[in-house]
Amino acid sequence: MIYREAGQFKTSYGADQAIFPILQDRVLVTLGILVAFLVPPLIADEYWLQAVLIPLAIYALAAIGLNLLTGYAGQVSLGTGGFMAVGAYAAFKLTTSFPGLNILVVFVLAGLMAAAVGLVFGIPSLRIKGFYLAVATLAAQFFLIWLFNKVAWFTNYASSGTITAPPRTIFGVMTTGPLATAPVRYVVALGVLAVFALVAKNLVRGRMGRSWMAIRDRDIAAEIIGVRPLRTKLLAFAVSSFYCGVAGAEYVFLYLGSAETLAFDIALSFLVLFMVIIGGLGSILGSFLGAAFIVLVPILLTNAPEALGLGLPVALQKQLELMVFGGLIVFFLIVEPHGLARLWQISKEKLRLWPFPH
Amino acid sequence: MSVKRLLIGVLATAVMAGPMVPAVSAQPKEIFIPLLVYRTGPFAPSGVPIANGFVDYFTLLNERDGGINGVKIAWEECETQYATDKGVECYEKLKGKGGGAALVNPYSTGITYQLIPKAAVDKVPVFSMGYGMTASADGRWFPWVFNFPTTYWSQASAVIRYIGQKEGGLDKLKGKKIAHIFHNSAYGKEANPTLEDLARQYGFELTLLAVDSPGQEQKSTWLQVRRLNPNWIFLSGWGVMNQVAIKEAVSINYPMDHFIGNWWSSSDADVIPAGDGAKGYIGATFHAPGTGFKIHQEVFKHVYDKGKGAGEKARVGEVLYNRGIANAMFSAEAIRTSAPSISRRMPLPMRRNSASASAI
Repeated sequence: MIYREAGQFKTSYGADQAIFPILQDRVLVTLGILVAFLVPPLIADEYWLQAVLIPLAIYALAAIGLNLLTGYAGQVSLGTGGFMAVGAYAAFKLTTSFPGLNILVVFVLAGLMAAAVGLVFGIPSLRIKGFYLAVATLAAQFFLIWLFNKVAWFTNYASSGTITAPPRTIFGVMTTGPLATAPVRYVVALGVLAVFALVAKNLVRGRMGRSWMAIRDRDIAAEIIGVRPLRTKLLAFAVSSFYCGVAGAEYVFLYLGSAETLAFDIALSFLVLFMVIIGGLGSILGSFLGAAFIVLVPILLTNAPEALGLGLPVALQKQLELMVFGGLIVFFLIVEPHGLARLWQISKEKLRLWPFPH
Repeated sequence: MSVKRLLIGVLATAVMAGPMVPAVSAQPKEIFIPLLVYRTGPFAPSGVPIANGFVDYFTLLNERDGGINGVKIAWEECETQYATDKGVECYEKLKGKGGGAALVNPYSTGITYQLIPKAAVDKVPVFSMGYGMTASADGRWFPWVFNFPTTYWSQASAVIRYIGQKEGGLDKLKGKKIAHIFHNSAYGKEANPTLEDLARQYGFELTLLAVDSPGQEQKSTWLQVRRLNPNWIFLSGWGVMNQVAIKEAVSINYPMDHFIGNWWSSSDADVIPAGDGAKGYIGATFHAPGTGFKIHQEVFKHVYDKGKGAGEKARVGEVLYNRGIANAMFSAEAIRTSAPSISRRMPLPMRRNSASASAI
């Protein structure tokens, strides 16, 4: 009844091909973005911003990156943590070498650096597919982490091998380093996410995204209709690694503040892959939903017993959290193997018919 | 331990127990101490006894003395699984509780590195007892961080000195082969610069062997050890890595009396899995193990006999349990000396700041 496009006529191709062709969606998304930008910095306390919302924005960006590669182009990758590490270490080297450079420019350059590395590790994808490719990208993960551990130049010869975000400002506002307030870091992370999510949405609707999907669905057929596998696959690796690289730079500069290679180990790659799978392969919205699920549910589960007034020992609480969380993942994947984004789509279709389903 | 380091340690102590600022009026209801613990995950074997030691000592103070200077101690545990991002989450969650944390014990060098810049902004003292960033011992640059009573650097030099003694003098170290097997993280790497320096000074041959976290997989490392056949091995491991390393050493028949673990690699849980083969293994610590101390009798009497113990009674007195007790003791005394009447608004750091100016 509320969610119906009756009476909304499209009079141009542009209107027909809009990202959100239905007015209600446009209103909802605009409101959502406004709320995301305005409400948390004003009302959320530091714990919510620092421990929940900032990592959420950063993980969502990384999940979009991996979704472009795995969901849209069909190339399974376990190298996300490695590519994020490239972004982080590149940003650290760039900003310590050129302190005057705007930190946003540093993030983009770090992303480009990660894209270059991703391009190199994408080369095997031309010959190997599926699980075998996953193993090849696993090599990227281990090699890159080993490299940053081994070569002290990347950490500016810090004896502990830790990189620390130096204080940097954007237009005079402290953005990174210990003095940067959580609201500022949140707004920057969200701004970067909003811009790059829009770019990703347009990429996958355009020629590039369509050629990725063609390769994913049947690479031989795609080749016959004129999609060049070499260029398309490598481009997917480069774009995906760019996103992961920017997310990695933000991970250290806006979230952790300082990090060692341990922060980028294989567990991070799996985490982002789970976000993509649970959220929905081949869906930008799914990346958001998946990131939200993986970040929010454990925190909810950790705090739930206390909120209910049950004083459980922390170890038991942690183990319960892991069990319930694992159970939820299995539950959602059984209910909807195509992820949360598909659930959302189904509920939208139901809503359109409501209250008179056939 | 070099004189300078010792001096810094003494200074830190002096500063901690330094002069008080005028007493503040408002009397708080309790002193809040956040506990970052890891009772699950690959580092739980090391994390559980420490956490129990902490909790038992605070319970003892509350039960026997009614807290510190009559103010009850309140604490809350937060599970970090030794992961830095979880540690930051816990810190953010607990730093403002109970009117503000009196001090925080990160119990992970990785988490300490995260908290050092934050602590100065939030004005929460970080007490990283014998771990964390060695350079933070210098109160001129790190007024909010304490790593007293000692650091990885002083430990590394103490271990080399011990080896020198056993070899019959530091000059005998020339040409000897010493391997450092370390957890490949900020923690494990911390001793490397000192060891490298000492290797240059005394002319021994140092080999640095990194083991990736968590450290279950060490086959290649011990293959290198077998090829190298070092005279001495120094181990900087943590959690499951220690057990695996000691078992591997036993399986290649490495002489245990030439195998030294640092203070995170010398607990009961580390040697038990290796069985009799581990006899003779050397651990370097800064406190004694066992239950032969008055404090343990008090803990038994006031905590365990009342059924308020955090762990099993039989495990009281384990090396890492005593580490937890020692750490809690230092924390409690630091709070006591810094604040005759503790104010919620003005915790220990205020004193620290004014004191450090005069002390240094």
